[in-house]
Amino acid sequence: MTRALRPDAGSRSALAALSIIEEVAAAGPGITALEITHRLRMSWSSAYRLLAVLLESEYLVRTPDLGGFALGRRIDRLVGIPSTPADRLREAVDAVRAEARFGIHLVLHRPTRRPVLELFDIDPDFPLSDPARVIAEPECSAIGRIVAADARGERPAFSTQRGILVPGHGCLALPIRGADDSLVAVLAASAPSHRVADADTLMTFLTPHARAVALACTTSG
Amino acid sequence: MVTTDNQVPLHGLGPRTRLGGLDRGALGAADVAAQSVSAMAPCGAAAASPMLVAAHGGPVVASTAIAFALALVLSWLVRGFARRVPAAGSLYTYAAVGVGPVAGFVTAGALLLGYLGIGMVAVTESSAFALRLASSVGLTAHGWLVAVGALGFAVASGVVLVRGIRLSARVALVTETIAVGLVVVVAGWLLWHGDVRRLHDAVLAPIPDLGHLAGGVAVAMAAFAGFETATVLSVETRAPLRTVPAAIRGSLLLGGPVVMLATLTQAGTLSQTPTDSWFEALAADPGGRMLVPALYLATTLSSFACALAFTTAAARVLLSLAREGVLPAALGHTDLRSKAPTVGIWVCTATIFGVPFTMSACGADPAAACGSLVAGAVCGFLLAYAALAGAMPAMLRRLGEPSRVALVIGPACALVLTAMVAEFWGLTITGPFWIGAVAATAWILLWAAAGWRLRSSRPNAFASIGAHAGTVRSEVWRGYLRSTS
Repeated sequence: MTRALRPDAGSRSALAALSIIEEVAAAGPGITALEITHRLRMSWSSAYRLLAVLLESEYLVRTPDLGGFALGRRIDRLVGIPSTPADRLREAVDAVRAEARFGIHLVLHRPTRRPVLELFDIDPDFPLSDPARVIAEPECSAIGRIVAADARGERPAFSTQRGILVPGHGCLALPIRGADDSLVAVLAASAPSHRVADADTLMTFLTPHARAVALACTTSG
Repeated sequence: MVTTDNQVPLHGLGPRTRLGGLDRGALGAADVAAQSVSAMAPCGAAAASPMLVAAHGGPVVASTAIAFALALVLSWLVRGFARRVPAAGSLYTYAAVGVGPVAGFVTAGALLLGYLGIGMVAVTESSAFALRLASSVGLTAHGWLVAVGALGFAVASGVVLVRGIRLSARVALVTETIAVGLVVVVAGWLLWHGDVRRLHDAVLAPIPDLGHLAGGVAVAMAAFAGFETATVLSVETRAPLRTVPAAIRGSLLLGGPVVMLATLTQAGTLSQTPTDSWFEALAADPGGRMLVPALYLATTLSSFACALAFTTAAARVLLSLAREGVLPAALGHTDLRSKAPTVGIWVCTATIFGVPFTMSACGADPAAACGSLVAGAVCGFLLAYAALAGAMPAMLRRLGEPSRVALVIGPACALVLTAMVAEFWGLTITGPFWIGAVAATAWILLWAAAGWRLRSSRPNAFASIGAHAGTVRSEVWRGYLRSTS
């Protein structure tokens, strides 16, 4: 290779960074920095520096135990994974959860199916106490009350229940409407009763997020 | 959930971390750097530090220069953690991640002592310089006016902080920028008009003995303490793994030279004994007299921003401890609108403003109160820094990233800091500020006893110390999520 074609230091760093990404992808989540240095025969300092850059730029992330690495969200664009409608909905709901310390659930409304409610994304950290009852008995849950009100032709801004399903806890649900103003989903927050009683504050918090969820619902068709 | 057998390392990946509820990703680099610079309060430190170093018998210039060098080494260690672990618990979370919950708990006590102690010093300084500012412009401060003013400061501080981190960070940024600008002007004027021979003598002043040098360096460290507080905002910062380390380095490289510059300008007047500060040097000069109110204003503003910064930091340390189940859950509460840890902020504001106010009401001499508070806080900071430095090699080993440099620098730094805190404690307990050393010892013993009790009564909470804002599922490659859904 002539001098002109030989890669310079910057190009070598870029190639080494790509090799690290490739190694993490091949090994699966949890590969450690030491394993990467051994497999790629890199020096510790070079590998740590490149790993730090890849972490900062979100191409890689640390696993929850901090001991290993996994591919980050920016890899989606690199490999061309398309964002599905379900992805967009889940991400919009996760954005609410990241800021809330209580349960956030998204229930889809399918008027043409039985049952009409689909528990699309239930908060894994604060699961519903009785999902079957939420679907079967509309009046016992805030989610069901929104659906029942919609069936009667009413348009409530939100609905609440306190202490029916779990003593000391309650739920506030608000409708997500499509472009044609039909009810497409219900966004619900299950929280201690005192939090649900302060509906104004909870609505101030949820309303901007509900718009983002509505947008995700609309674009997902 | 991502919990299949072939992806065990991603087990536990959820939509939120234990530090949820804070204003995630709200702050940029300037806001985070402002937190560190405000905590260092280069202007307030410049006004108080040389006098305090001299009062402890240390050589002013040499002590400050060594403390700055030590702070630079420590900042390298802190950045090593901040690049890897985003955490609102700052140094105590790092110590817990590296060594374990016992080290984390002890570091948390030391860190709270440091944060609350320097916060109280800042409030005392802010009030003292506000009074001097009033006197310099011909106003007479009555007792009731001082009390109302102090209460007003406390309420203003609390309100700014509970309105959210965006507002408080901007207030700190603007306040500290004005203060640093003013102090640089004054320092430049003093150097231009100063006596070069006296400055030369002060820089080359003989070092009395190692004990006094260690004591002087320990007190001078208080001028740089707080550079690491940007780490408490890791959860609230955009791209924290890149921004927070950069903010730590930038704030130390900005604030450190300002403190050094101010120390040099005062060294010419301070020499070896605590005589007068630059306020007297300016007042003695007809041309410099007009700068005195400006310097009082700068010091008042800087100290107020410092109090805000340490309240911010202490509130987030309390929040982190509360989320781990170590402290009452109420301290982990965050407001839904402002996303600020409101209960923690009010508790810290009441402590940081209440204690100096009570001391003043009891007739304590402000200079003696300041000296004792600084002494207690310095003990806390040095202990926390020593724990962090000692934890560095263990943390890197746990993360699978061993480093020979860190293996040498970390323990060496921990040893130096431990020796320094022991020497400083010994000097302080026999000096005029002995109350500070006694209070620090009592606090650490009480904290350790509480930890011992917690460990036996709630072992799960104790073992969970080390909560950090780790990876959430919205940050990983979608392919992992699809393969399991």
